[in-house]
Amino acid sequence: MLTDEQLKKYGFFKPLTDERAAAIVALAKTINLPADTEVLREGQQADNLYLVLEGRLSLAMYVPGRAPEKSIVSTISRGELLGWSALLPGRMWQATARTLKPTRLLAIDGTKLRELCDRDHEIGYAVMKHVLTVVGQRLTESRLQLLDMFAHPDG
Amino acid sequence: MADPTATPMLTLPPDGLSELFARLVQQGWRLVGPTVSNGAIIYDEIQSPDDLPTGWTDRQAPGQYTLEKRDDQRSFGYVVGPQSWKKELFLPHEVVQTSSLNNGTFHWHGANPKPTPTAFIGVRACDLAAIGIQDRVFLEGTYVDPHYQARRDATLIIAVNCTEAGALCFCDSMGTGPQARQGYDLCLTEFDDYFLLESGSDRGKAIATQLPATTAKPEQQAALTTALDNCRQQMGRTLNTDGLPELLFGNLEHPQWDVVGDACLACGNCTMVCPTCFCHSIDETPDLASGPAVRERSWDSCFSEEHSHIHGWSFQPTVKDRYRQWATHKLSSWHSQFGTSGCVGCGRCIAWCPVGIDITEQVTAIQHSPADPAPLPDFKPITWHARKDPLQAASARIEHITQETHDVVTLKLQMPDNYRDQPGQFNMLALPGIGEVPISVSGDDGGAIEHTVRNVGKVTAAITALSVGDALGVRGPYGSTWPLDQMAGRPVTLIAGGIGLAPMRGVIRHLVSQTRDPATEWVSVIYGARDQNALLFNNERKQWPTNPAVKVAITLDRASAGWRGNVGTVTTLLQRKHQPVHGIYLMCGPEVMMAAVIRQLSLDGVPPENIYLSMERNMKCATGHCGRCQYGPHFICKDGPVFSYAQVRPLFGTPGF
Amino acid sequence: MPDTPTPSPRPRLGVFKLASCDGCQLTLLDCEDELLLLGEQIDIVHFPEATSPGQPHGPFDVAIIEGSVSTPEQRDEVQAIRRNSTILLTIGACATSGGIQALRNFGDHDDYRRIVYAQPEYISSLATSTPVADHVPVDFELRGCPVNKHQLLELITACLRGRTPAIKNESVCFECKRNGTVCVAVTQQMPCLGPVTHAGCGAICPAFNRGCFGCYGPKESAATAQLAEQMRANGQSNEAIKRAFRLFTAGSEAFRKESQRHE
Repeated sequence: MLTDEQLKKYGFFKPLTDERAAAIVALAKTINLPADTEVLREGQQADNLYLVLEGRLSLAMYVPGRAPEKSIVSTISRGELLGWSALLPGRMWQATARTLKPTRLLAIDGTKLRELCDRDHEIGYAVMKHVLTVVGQRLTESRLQLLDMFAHPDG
Repeated sequence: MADPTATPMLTLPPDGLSELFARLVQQGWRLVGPTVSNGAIIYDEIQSPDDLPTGWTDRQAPGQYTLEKRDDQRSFGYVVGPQSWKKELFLPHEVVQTSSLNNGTFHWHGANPKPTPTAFIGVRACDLAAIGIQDRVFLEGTYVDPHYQARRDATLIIAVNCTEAGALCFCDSMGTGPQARQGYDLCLTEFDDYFLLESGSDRGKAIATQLPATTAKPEQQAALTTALDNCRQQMGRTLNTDGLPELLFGNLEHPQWDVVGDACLACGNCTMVCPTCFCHSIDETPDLASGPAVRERSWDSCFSEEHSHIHGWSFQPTVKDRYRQWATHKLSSWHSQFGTSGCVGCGRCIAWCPVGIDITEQVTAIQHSPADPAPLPDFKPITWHARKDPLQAASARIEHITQETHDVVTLKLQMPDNYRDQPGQFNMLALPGIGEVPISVSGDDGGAIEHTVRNVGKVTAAITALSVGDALGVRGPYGSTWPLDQMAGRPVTLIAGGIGLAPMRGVIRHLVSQTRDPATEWVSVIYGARDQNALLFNNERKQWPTNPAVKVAITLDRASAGWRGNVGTVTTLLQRKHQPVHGIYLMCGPEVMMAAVIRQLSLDGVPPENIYLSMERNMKCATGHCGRCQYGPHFICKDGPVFSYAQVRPLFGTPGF
Repeated sequence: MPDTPTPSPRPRLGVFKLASCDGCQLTLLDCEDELLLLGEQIDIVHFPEATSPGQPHGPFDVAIIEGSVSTPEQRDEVQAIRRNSTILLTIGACATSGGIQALRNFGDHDDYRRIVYAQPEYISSLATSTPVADHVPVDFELRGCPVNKHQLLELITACLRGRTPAIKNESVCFECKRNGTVCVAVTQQMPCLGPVTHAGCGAICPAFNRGCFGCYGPKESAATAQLAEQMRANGQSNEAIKRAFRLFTAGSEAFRKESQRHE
């Protein structure tokens, strides 16, 4: 398991006291994955929230007839969160995540994390604030991609 | 120019005017002065006082102008008509350059204007001020317009003081009239039975000595003061200029702009009749035979859609945008650009607006319910004079071509020995008969320079289709540079999007060549592109990280087969770590990308002074004359293209600029 | 997408006529000296006004269409021309706005036929006269009734040289002021469409003490409602305003809507 000092490097844990960070880490386990491994699949029940400790993953959405690598909408790297859907009950994964290179993840049990957030609103607020930042950033990114800003001016 | 008060005031009898005209004609001057034509007093070639609008006056109202008979026989008993002297100095149409291709080399034949020496008869104080303002634009910048200069040097000015003001006059508010104060050779003031005559130059004095003039009596001199005072009392319009530049600059979102935008026809009349408006277009004209290509300059206006048009869209699509551009330029940003207001208070824009829009009313409405004023940059006098025709290009031969992507090439051009540029600057690349485009320098290599060009329009299509050995016109370098002097001892982050990597390659090469401490002076290149096929400088880019202080991160909007790197936008890469506030950040790419990056950096507390960006707008001349690349108080061509964010923050992201 | 033209040493030009008076084709013939120069650089393979009748044989590097789409045959013909042309240019008020014959768009087509023709059943025409761009993509629309000779040459030259034609989308007022013409609207309150009309004619009418008739159709951002209001303030009746906007380019969207506002 990671030391407190190592965890503090990740933005997700920064606003939390050591005790509260430890409470989250108690719900989590570290996973090491080789490249080209599917971590979660679009449409399946969202279970864990992941923090990327090392490596890079792709997020892809299934488009019939299109090669999966052309359906990648985003990548997620060290320090970033994967699987925020797991923080909402009954939610399905919105995309499929695969490792692009050897990757180490901290997998936090989503149900237990939700329960912890419900019990300790300090943790809940910090977690939700962080997740909102992540979702906001992804929204900006998606909007910029949608604008196709590097396209030829004639379209 | 001599102080007119120092010369004795003379009196000229009414028939002295004939004598004056005769002397001028005798000395070889072509006379241009007021005359009645088609229901207005225009400026045209005249021969004698018989051609003057003697006994006529003009009645003006918003959108209205009519001539009426006077009760007396004064020759200068009107204010101003639809024309100004700019038609004589800055011609409505003019061939400014021809070019030919001989033995694979372009030759440019620029200005050799030999204008007929011309005496302007009856220049009003407001118009005298307007000539002074256009002098600043065309003569007092780094680049001097040779066409304007030749005509200006061949001009003699006979001013006439105004003793009556029109219903739309507000020269008193603008501090330009009614008395002509400087810039004339001779100045007349008309009274019922005599003229007062003052000379403002040695040339004027010499002419005065040849006239049947006598020293003015004290009561005649006193009559001038009274007449000018009366005139000031009669001003039909006023404009409160107190703090006006800053007030307008702080009120770019005032609802009055919507009101006037709804009323305005965007017909361009106000700018055409304005004696100071200088915006123009430069176009290639028909050349069916393979003779010389001709470039023609013509009056243009910020009210035309094409004025702010750049490969595919217009920066000022709405009429409101265009009116606001005109009015804020005239009364506000002109001060930063030229150290003076651009308005002389002649009232022409009010009279000759077909729907009678009154600029003084717009200003008053904003002054009535203003937001806070905003500071404008100070006027910066020029630091050097370029001693050549600003449109004169050099013919460069293409030494090597690299096909970077399907629509981007890098051309290596052999340049003349004395050519030097700094990273961030640009050149105008020309193909005579097709056109000219501003393209940033993407690298220097001894006597050769590189330009990386994307095919986005007709001119770039032709340039990207050239072959090794072909000739290309190059003039420059122009514009500001990346702040190389700020990069020592601190981290530098370069954020490029798409073709925006090209203007940064010079500065990246500079940084890669340095010995930098990876812990404190790291160089981070964050580069976003549409897809893998759109990535530029593939071989060279891989060499940059051989300097241990340099890191390159790439992200694509769209993934493709085999891509294992980042997918997403540069902002995502940027937010992965806290960006140091003392770092220097350079960016070039689509404005929407730069805006998102700036917001991200601001979140980390990076001050605007540490952020630099390269901007792009429509350019025709690149020398500060054509007025098309204006960005509020700035010209992109000479104040930019590289700006600190602190400089452009008030406008950056504001629609319509 | 147009077919790729067969490789030819010289570009092939086709000139086509739909419903029109031939005046714009005449403008091209009027070019005389320049037409000879042009003939050295291109093959004019179809030009009904200048040659004996014959079937057009594509493909064309550049096709120029004069006239509006007014009959079912013309509707099919423009499709064929587009398919056979790399660059398609339309010239004149008919081809770019429907022309004077678009006046029928405001009335009842059958009524017109009955009134004008003795045997209307012989007449096969569409209910509306429309610009070519309503039917197929057009690469450049050259305005005018008729088109200006210099602009036409500039357009053809620019196509051949691969440059953007120096044809401004500004108002007629720009031309008046550059010419030094005194504004008839301001000095005489004469109705003048100059402020909302596309430049190109050289501002001929105001130079002869007439208001602009709008032959070149609306400019971009044509503020027709504001101008109409000013015309009304200057004493023009609703009927006069309607008629002013309902002339050679009555079928253009901006002028059509403005004339309808004054019905």
